[in-house]
Amino acid sequence: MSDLNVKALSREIDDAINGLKDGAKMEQSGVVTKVSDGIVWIYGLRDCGFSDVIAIETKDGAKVEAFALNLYEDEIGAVILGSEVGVNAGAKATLTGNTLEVPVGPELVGRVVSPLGLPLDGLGPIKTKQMGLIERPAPGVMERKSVNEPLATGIIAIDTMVPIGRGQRELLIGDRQTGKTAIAVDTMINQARQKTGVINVYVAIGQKSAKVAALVERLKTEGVMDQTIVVATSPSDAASMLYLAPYTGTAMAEYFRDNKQHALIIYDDLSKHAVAYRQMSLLLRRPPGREAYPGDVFYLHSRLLERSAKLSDDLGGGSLTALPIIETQAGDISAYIPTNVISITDGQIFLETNLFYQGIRPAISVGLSVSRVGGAAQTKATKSVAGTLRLELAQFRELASFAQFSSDLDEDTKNRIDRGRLLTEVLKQKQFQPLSVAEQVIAMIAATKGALDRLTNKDVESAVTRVIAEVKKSEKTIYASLDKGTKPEDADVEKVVKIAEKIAKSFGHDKAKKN
Amino acid sequence: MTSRTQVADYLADKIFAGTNSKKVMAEVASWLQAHNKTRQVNYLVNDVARALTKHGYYCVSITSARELSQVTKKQVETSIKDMTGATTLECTYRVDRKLIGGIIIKTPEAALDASIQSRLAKIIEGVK
Repeated sequence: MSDLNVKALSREIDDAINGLKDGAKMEQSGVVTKVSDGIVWIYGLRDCGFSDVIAIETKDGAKVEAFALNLYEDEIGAVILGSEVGVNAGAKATLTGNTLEVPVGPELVGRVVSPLGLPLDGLGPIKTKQMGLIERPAPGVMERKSVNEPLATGIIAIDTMVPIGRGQRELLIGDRQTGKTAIAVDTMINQARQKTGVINVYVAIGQKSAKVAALVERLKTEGVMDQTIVVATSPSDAASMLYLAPYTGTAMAEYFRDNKQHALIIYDDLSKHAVAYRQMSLLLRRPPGREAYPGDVFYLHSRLLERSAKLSDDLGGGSLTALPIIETQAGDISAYIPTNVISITDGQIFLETNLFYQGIRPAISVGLSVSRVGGAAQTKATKSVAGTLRLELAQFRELASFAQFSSDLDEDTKNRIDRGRLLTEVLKQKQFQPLSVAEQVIAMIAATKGALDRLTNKDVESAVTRVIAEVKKSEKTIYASLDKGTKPEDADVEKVVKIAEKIAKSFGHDKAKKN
Repeated sequence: MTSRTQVADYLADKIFAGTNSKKVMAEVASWLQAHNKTRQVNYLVNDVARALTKHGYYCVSITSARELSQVTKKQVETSIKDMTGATTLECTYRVDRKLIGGIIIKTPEAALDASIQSRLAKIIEGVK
């Protein structure tokens, strides 16, 4: 009670009143002429710029915000941020003087937020020191550096055959239920397990709330949430929210990129983002193009993904890696949005339904997946074992389909098929179990040097696990060296092969017996 | 296609030049009819008012809680001219008791809300 000072209180109120006296000033105002499906048309506000925020007074005196997307000579088309309830024709509209901004900074880490940066996790308000523009130009040519550091996903098939580098944009594409999100989640988990310090930003675009909730729970269980921001939108959110979500996530991730840190952003998924933008564009009466998407749907994604970059050393060398996800229909990667995003990104990982249901998970199609820049970022250790893997697997798939018609195969073909089957088994990996660089290299040495050739398919997984455990236990120096990404010496490879052969023998198979 | 703003600019230029003939009005009416915009006459009038501001001619609406004295009106008009740079004012005075006190000035492009009603609303919003 001793803090109470009535005189000071009186002065504060006087100051507040004086502040109000100075507050009135001429401000541009307009009138809402039409409201429909989250879109408002406004007469007036001639100084309004693209993406400027407009405040609209509702019947009950509250204010609803919208952002301008169509600037015509006679009227402005704006998209309401959130619900249109209470907005009616004749309502007063004013410019707030802001373009769209969201809170950014380390305070957001560990939180689940809306596309406007508002908390959705019930953990109280988020007090950040900085705001970031939702729409921002991408770094220019001189501000960038070539991708040169690996971003380990922990998924052996990806890290060996389609490696991803920090600052790269790698598309995850495939039909529904083929494991696209699973790869993204495993990559996030691996950042925590390997203590890479990479901040994860997961953007759920129109994903079912139950799915997002389960994902957040899983991230918490795995201890990943401490270095993750989740930007969540559900199918019940307005199209404007779905449209903003990836830009919001990018603004939040850019903070880390620009502050000498490394961030990973996952857009799950950009197909739904394109659909939300199509809805807005059609309601704004923009002319429809192919598949009814507006003409600037390419720019919608290109300007978003171009913000992912590896910055030059002068700018701190931070990076933002993007894993956009695209859902295809019946495996059609030649549809409009898939081809657009394929051409924007630095490679794609294509997941096949057939492989998924054959039990080959992750169901990565070796032939259609590619990483255009990640090879430069691959560790020497991984590179040493990944050399001809893609080729061998591609040959195996080709021969395997051919072998179905013929039982009379020459020795060379049989060997290739056997090796392909073994490699396919080694590349199978359960969800939430990312492997370190050393574990991957040990598994690949054991598989490619023929140590596991005698095993049946069902024994491969447990044999590989035992080989890794044994090397970790008995050859600590080799393990540590491999984990740092150093290329293994021939003698080290020999030691790993011997351990693998010994373990393979313990399974008691004298000759090749494949399933 | 000619926009409503372009038509308003054309009409404002004619009005300012003193050639506000029946012919011009007929032209505008036929344009509205042809483009199915006859219900936008009010907007067109506003656009014309806005276009006239380029010539220093301001159409202003002034709302107060009580009838203003001639002296106050003169003061208000002077301050509007200072704020906008207008040379000629066409003022319409209204009384609205809901304002409680203060004044609302509306020009074709902007508005100044210095009413007690809006200040109270701001205080309530601040308390929330």
